[in-house]
Amino acid sequence: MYTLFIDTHYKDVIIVLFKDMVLLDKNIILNVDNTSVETMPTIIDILEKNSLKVKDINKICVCIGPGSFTGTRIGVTIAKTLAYTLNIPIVTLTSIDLIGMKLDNESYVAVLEKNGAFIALYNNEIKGDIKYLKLSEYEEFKNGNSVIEDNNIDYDKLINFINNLKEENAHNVIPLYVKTIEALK
Amino acid sequence: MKDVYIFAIESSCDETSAAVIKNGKDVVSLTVATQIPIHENYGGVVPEIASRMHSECITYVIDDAIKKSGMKMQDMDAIAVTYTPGLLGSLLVGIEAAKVLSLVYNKPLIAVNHIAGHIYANNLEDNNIVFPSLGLVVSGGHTEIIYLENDYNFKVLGSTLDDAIGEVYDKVARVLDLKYPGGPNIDRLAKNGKHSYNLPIPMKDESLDMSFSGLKSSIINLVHNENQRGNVISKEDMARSFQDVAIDELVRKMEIAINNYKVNNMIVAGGVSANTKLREEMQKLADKYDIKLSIPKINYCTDNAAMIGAAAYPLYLKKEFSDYDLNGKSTTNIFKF
Repeated sequence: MYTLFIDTHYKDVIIVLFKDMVLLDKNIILNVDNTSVETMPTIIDILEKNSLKVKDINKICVCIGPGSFTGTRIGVTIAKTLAYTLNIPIVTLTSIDLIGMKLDNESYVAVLEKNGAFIALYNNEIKGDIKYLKLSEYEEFKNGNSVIEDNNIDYDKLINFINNLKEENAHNVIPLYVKTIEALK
Repeated sequence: MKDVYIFAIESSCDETSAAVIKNGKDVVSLTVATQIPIHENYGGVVPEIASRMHSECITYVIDDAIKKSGMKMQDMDAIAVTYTPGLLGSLLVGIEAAKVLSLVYNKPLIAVNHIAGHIYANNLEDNNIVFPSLGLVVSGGHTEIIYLENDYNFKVLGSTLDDAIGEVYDKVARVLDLKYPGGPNIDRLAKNGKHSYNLPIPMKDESLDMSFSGLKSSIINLVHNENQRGNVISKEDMARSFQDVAIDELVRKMEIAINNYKVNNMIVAGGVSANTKLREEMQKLADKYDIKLSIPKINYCTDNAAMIGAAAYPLYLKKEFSDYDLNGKSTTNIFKF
C-alpha cells in the first residue's frame, strides 16, 4: 500500500512516499522559483527512484494550504487529478495540521509567509478558525501568546495523521485560501 | 492512416473546457464551463476568482468531456493543453491536470498556443484552412492581419498600434453601462440602432496597421459631455455607430491586404469573430473578390478546448511534444510558435 503525499502550499515542493506506515522516500526542493516547473518532475523522480509506476500509488494526501494561492493550487490540482484518473482515495490536511500534529499540548500554530502568518489554536485538530495576520499584527500577537512555527515534518506522525483522515470526493477537493482576494477588497 | 484522437484542455481565462477531437477536425465531445455570470458582477475577469473556479471544476469538466465522447482516456493519442497566453494562475490549472493525464495514461503532452487555437478553430467540422491564406485575428488581446503560409508558419502583416479591438468593445460597453462581456452586448444593441453619432474614422492610410484608441477616446468624451449636458445617450445608436466604424476599419484593412497579397483563402479567428456584423462584412468582402472565407461556428469563436485539440493536431503529426516541466506563460510573441 503506497501513499503519496504532496505539499506545495508555499515555496517548497515536498513529495513524500510511504509504504504502509513507513516512510519510503522523500523529495524536498526548497525555495523553488517555479512550483509548476518542479512539482510533476519531482513526483515522477520519486516514483522512478523507487521503481514504482504511477498506477502503483494506492492513496493520495494533499496539503490544501493555507499558503500561496498559486502554489497550493498546483499541488491540489495535481492531487485531485491523480486521484480522479487513478480512481484511488484522496485525503486532505492543512499547512496548520503539518505543524500542529507534532504538539502534545494545546498551542497556537503559525504558518508563515512573506507578508504575514496564518494562525490557529491547535489541540489534536484546529480549534476555531484559521486567521491571517499581517507581519506587524503577528509580531504583536506573539508578544502575548506562545506560537509554534516549526514546520519540519514528523513523518511518523504524518502517516498516522493521514490514516485517520476521512476520504474525500476528488472532484470536490479545493485549496483552503483563508485570505480574501485583494482585488475585491 | 490511423485516426488520431486528442484530448484537449483550455483554461486560459474565464472558461474551463475539455474536448475530444478526431484528426484535428471532428468534435467528438466538447464541455465548456463558463464563469461569465460570476465575473459579470465585477465588470470584468478577476484573475484570482478565475483561477479558483478552474481548480474547482477542472476534473468535473475532464470527466464530462471523456464521458460524452463515449471513449476512454486510454483511447486518446495525446493530451493537449493551452500554455500561453492568458492568466497565469488559470493556465496552470489546465497545465497541471494535463500533465497528470499524460503521465497516468502514458500519452504525449502537447503545449498549445491559445491564439493558434483560435486560428485552428477554422479546421473544425465543415471548415478548413487552405494555405496560403490571409487571416484576421481579433480578440480581447489581439488585432492582427496575418499571412498563413502553412501549418504554424504565420507572418504578421499588420496589427493594432494601440488597443485590441475586443478591448475597445469592452471599454465602450462599460461607458454605456452594459454588462461584461461587452462585445456581444454591443453587437445585440447595434442591431436596433441607427448610425447617428459622428465618430472619427481611424487611420485613413493604406498600411495594414490599425488604431482604435482614438475611436475609443472620442466615444468616452462624447458620452461624458452628453451626460454633463444632461442629454440622454441612445445606447443602441452609439453601439451601432461604434460598431459600424470599428468593423468597417477592420474590413477596409483586409481589403488592402487582399489587393497586396493575391490569395484565394481567408480566415477570421478570435473571440470577436463571433460578431455578427464582422461575419457579414467579411462574407461580402470575400464574395466581392471571389475568395473562400472561413469563420468558425459561433460556439468555436469563444474560448473552448475543441480549438486547442485542432491546433494540437499538426504538432502531434510533427511530434512536437512537451515535458513535465512545462510552465504557463502569461504573454508571448504569438506568431513565434
